[in-house]
Amino acid sequence: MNGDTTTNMLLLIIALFALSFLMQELQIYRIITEVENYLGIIRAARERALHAAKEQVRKYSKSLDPEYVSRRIDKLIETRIIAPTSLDPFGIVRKLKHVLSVGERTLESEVASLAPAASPYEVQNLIVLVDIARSLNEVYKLLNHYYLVARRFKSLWLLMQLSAAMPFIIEEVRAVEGAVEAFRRSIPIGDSAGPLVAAFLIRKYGVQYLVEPVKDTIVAKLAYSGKDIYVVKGKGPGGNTGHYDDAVAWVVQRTKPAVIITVDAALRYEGEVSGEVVHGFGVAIGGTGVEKYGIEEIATKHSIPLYAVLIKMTEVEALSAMTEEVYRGVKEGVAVVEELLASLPDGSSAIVVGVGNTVGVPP
Amino acid sequence: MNAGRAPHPKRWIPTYIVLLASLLILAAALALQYLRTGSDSYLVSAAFVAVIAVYTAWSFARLITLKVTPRSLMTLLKCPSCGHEIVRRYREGDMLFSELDACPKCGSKMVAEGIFLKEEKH
Repeated sequence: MNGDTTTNMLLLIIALFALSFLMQELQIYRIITEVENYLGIIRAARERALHAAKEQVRKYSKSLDPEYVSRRIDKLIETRIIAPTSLDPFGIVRKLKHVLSVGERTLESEVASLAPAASPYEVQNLIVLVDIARSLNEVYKLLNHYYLVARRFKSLWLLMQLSAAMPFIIEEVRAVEGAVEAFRRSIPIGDSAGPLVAAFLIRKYGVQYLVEPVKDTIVAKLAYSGKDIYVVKGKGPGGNTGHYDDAVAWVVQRTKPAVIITVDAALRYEGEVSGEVVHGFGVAIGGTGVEKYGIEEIATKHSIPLYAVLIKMTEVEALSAMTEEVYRGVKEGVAVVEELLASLPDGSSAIVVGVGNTVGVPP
Repeated sequence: MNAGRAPHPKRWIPTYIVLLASLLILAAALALQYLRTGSDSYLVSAAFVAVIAVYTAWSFARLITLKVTPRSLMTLLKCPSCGHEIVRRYREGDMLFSELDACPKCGSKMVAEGIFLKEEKH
């Protein structure tokens, strides 16, 4: 081996060694750019949602200083709900319900004070708009935190995890952002499928009476011949979900229902059709699980069968203005509930709960 | 709903056409220069530009076959007297179960039975 060949070999080894580092650096740089682009999309979505919330609140707060309103909303979107400790899980649902209701009441009074000219149902929609801005803000801040940590430590693995999760997160962010326009105009969203089924039943059969035994939740006793049918839904047309467990407890204190039917939107898998209606057993309520727990407790205590009617849709459809396919599903859902009610013996009673956000759906 | 809708991807079609035409002209010019001079560097450059042109053409083909179905917000009106139904574009202020337009058949007030996004048919 002569001197030139040895030098060339050495240079080749050094070049290969340097290239391996260079490739990793290039890969890190590529993923950083990708994550930054995604973060830019999420930041823009947060800004748009925040702007929409501020604009909408300002419509009803002519007497207040716009700067003051803007600052208060900036503060509101930074508030956090702190879940109770699970070190001793006994009674945790009751504690969670307490924390959530305190948060809900405080947010409602804050928004109502910022928008004195808004009607109660408009305040409900403003709360949802602020809530959307709050959730997008939380998502952005969390992802930005992971991004900055990953960048600080030049951690390829953290960046790769972020980059892999981003398309799914963006899909959810777009879904949440899609709700802004629907709440601004107060029109039903996909998640309003349950309350819309309840509203169609109320309109079709008429009511013997309609009461609001629990805040923002109505109970309507249908004028249904031979059976006592109680329909529970969020009050509407403001954007709220009501308190179904307390409303069901109120009905069960007065009658022993033969069945509790919950009608709700359900996420469909890829390949399934939107608006498809399926049956289920159990309580179809998402969210924190507090109300689901409450209804399960009541049903178990009184041995009441639990049926569910699910209307399938994607997450984007659930949070954006209702699509025609979901609307057709709602009509089919009404027919399915009617079939279930018709199969009950005469003289029996039943509770139908229209679960979901009741935006744009009056009683 | 039009507000907040993502920009239509087919807005890039003119850009693609200009880019593809420029690349093809450049590749042809380089090939011509190779034939005139016989220099290999022109041949390599022409091949390189041709590869980029093929990739651009492939992306363009994907773009023009992309199917985007826009949706419009509609209001379904139903006449409580004669049962006549109409689906028309949503107007600001339309509210579910409120009485809106007059029925073209019997003249009664029609009720908004549904507000939903419907696929636009061309």
